[in-house]
Amino acid sequence: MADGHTAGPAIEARSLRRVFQERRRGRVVKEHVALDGIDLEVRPGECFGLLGANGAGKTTLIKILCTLLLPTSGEARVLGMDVQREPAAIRRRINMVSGGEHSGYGILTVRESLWLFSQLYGLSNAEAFQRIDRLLKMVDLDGSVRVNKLSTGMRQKMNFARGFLNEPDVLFLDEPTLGLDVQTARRLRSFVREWVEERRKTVLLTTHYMMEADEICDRVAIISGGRILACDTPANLKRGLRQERVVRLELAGGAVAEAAAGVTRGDAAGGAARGGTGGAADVLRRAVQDVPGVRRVTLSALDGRVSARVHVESDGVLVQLVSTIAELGFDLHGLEKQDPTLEDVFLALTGRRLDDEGGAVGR
Amino acid sequence: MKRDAALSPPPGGALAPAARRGWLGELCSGWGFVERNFRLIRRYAAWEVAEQFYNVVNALTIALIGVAQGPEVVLYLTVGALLWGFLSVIFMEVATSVQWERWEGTIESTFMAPIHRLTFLLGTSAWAVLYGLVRTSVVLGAVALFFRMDLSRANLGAALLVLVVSSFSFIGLGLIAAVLPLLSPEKGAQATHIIQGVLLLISGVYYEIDALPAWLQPLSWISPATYTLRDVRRAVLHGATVGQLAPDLLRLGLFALVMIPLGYAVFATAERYALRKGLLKRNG
Ligand SMILES: Nc1ncnc2c1ncn2[C@@H]1O[C@H](COP(=O)(O)OP(=O)(O)O)[C@@H](O)[C@H]1O
Ligand SMILES: [Mg+2]
Repeated sequence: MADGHTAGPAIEARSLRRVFQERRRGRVVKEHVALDGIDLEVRPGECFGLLGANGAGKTTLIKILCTLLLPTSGEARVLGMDVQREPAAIRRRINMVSGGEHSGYGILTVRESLWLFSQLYGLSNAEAFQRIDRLLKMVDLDGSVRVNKLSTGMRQKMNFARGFLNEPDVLFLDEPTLGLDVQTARRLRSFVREWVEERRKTVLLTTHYMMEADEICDRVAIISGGRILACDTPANLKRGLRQERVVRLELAGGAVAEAAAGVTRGDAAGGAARGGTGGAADVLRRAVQDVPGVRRVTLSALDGRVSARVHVESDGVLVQLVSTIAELGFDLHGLEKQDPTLEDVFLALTGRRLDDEGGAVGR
Repeated sequence: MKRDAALSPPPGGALAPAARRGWLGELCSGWGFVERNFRLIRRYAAWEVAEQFYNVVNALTIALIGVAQGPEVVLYLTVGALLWGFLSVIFMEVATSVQWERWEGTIESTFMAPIHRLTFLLGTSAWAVLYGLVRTSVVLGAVALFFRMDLSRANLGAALLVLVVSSFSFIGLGLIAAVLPLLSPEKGAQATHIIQGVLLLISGVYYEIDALPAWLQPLSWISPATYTLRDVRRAVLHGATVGQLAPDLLRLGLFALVMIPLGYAVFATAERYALRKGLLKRNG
């Protein structure tokens, strides 16, 4: 933070709870617990990631911190100010961008649209256009295009630029690279990283892409079912899994084409949580899972090939693993030891994969 | 606004927190809403022209009904058409302001911005009055040309004063109606239309209140439009002076004095409710 007059955390949550009630004819028929006692501290100058699958509660948390939603109970502070008691003061120093957001006035140009938003922050015209042009250059977007002519990626770049218009001290990014192509996403990520470092700003970013969290976040909290299951630097989180070995097996021959098709269909996705369908992919997954010393298996398919990421207790398990695969009629095309990823951490903590929609209702 | 002035970016210069603060900042932000709406309309220019054409024709056809009964009736109906146009623009612009934010997907950005809610509401109101005035003048000009009206007896100053004072009471009414789309993303906009319809029915826009069934007549007393129409007609048709209109002007002023703070209070309460229920989200 630029002025540094708050020594404490930039963002703070204490036992934060949020329950949504579903009503029919005035009567509460169902309660969704979106946040179930969140404790969180983000330091000034930190890029902090919230990693979680769909429906984990990421957006709910961001909305509370942005003063767009009240908590059911608990406390939340931004820059030392309480979200319930001092929303006006918080609003002056934050901004928020959410991915896939379809906002802005379709018939205006990008530049005009951004100018309108700048007016909400009391910028003079000269100052506003100066910032807008600088930001547009930074995100590489033509300001003279009408908003309704923008592609998804271009629109997201515009939303992104909007988030920086008021030079916030704390910026909230809710799945900022949702639906973007790899290159644009990378560009925006490095922009955020530089902005945080050069200007000592604080960013709270939510994502369900583990690469994104790994790449730019100083610390990551893993959130599932409205609870934070772990919170540390990406390196430390992964180190926690170090006693496990992760090997990647490249399979070919035998029933590999059928298995690959099965993986693509999703027969064996989602790990242990799903009942099998008896396809080749499922047979493979079960057989590997049943090898003593195997903790988890994830299968993925690429270009008609199958690769299996297997978490094993020790190197000794590998011998049995290789022979099991041979018995199933697959050729072992390659075997590689790997470092655990944040995805592995997530899987170990939740038993689910990050892209697993299971249980998430709506979006 | 000079929107293209001098905008080459400085070479990577650090950003000073150049935001204006305090009431001046709020004023500028409020004017931002006026300018936003102006830009939107300018882009939809063809639509605007088509709509103005329709408005003019609409007023003409209503005035033409009275031709057989003489120029006074024509004027009576014209005033009704013009005023109803003016007041419903104000009411609808203010009442649908939140709904627009939802449709455009900007509701979160707007409500998260560091402006006072009054700035948003009054900025929108200022736009509504300006826009209503321009629209009404266009229609008035067209109708006056068409009928070559004799306004020599009219007290146009008094009529304008009535109009200005009533604008405020209609803003107050709009503020209360604006709450509906805030509370109900699905049904709020429909409710606003119903209110507009009721006002049209009870305010004596094209007929005297006596024409209404007796049980409906008391309702007309609570519509500010009733007094607006009565007074503007007295000023335009019979040249009534401000002094003669004073009691109704006072009523209209009082109405505004109560309705605007009340509207704001209702809005603030509704916003708190929306924050609690999680209603501040985009539509579609
Ligand atoms: N306005 C709302 N009304 C009812 N339920 C909601 C609302 N917003 C979110 N939820 C529920 O809360 C849970 C968390 O949602 P969300 O915070 O959007 O998750 P995420 O952003 O991690 O995908 C979900 O189960 C969702 O259905
Ligand atoms: Mg979300």
